[in-house]
Amino acid sequence: MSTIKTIGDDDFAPLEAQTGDAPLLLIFSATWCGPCKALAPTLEDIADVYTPSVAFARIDIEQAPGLAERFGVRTVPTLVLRRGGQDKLRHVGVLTRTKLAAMLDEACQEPQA
Amino acid sequence: MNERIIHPAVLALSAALRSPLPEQGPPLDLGFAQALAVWMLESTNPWPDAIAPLMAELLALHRRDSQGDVPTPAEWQRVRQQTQLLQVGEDELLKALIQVAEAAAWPISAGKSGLTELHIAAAMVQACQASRATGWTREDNKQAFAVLNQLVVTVDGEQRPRHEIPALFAKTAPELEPRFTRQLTASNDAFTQFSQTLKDRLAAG
Repeated sequence: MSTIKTIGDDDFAPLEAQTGDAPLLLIFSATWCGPCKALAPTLEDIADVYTPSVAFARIDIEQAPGLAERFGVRTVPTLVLRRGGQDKLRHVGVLTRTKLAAMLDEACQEPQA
Repeated sequence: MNERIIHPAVLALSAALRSPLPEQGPPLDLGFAQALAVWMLESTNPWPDAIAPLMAELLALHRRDSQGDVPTPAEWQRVRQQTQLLQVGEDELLKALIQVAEAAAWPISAGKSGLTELHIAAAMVQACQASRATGWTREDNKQAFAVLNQLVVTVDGEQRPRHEIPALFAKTAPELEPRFTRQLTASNDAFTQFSQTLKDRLAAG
């Protein structure tokens, strides 16, 4: 079962509050986006390994245009890694499981202020 | 009637290739998936010196895995760390091979993304090799993108309509454009051909 939640514009604030100090990976995608589909298995594998240390949320930019605008998303897929209410990293386009794991490892190890 | 055995990595690959698998047929199990990974890795050879030792090590790990001599998690972890130490630089072929290395740094049994990532990365390697085979060089690429980057924006700073760019490119760089187009066609054909070969292998089982 996928551990990636799909969220809408109204779900972000409660999710971030619930996530607390843990890293939160926001995955902006669209149903018509080929690279988003190609990236999906990678994200599911990573979510299986990193949940619950990292929270994952998928955002369809057409279903949640407010979040897409808030995070300045102009291209999909875009990944935004947040921690402590701040953007820590942003990646546009597909990436490998190895690269994403390295990003998340770094985010998990980074001490919180 | 028994349900066909299809490993999740094979299923994900068939979805990515838009090549649905029939309900009946030979099993496409972990062994099939591992053999496919070995074949994809082998297809990226020859490797430049900068990455050859790591690629050889990754291929050896996948071969062992497919033969039942399962590498330890520490061995996979070590090759993953090695991929992160590679210098990317501007060489497109090396960039594509680093993607292959990153994709191959996990056992196929660990999830569903292994074959999908390998497909994209290995197909990019085929594309880069095909581009180079036309005589297209790194320097040519640099020049072409320097011109193209200027053409994407009008003198007023507006985004130029995409359909206007090829003709403008041919006018601005008349010697470069035909060679650019030839390498691009070769590159696209190689990517498509590699994907088609994979589809054929999935269909054959």
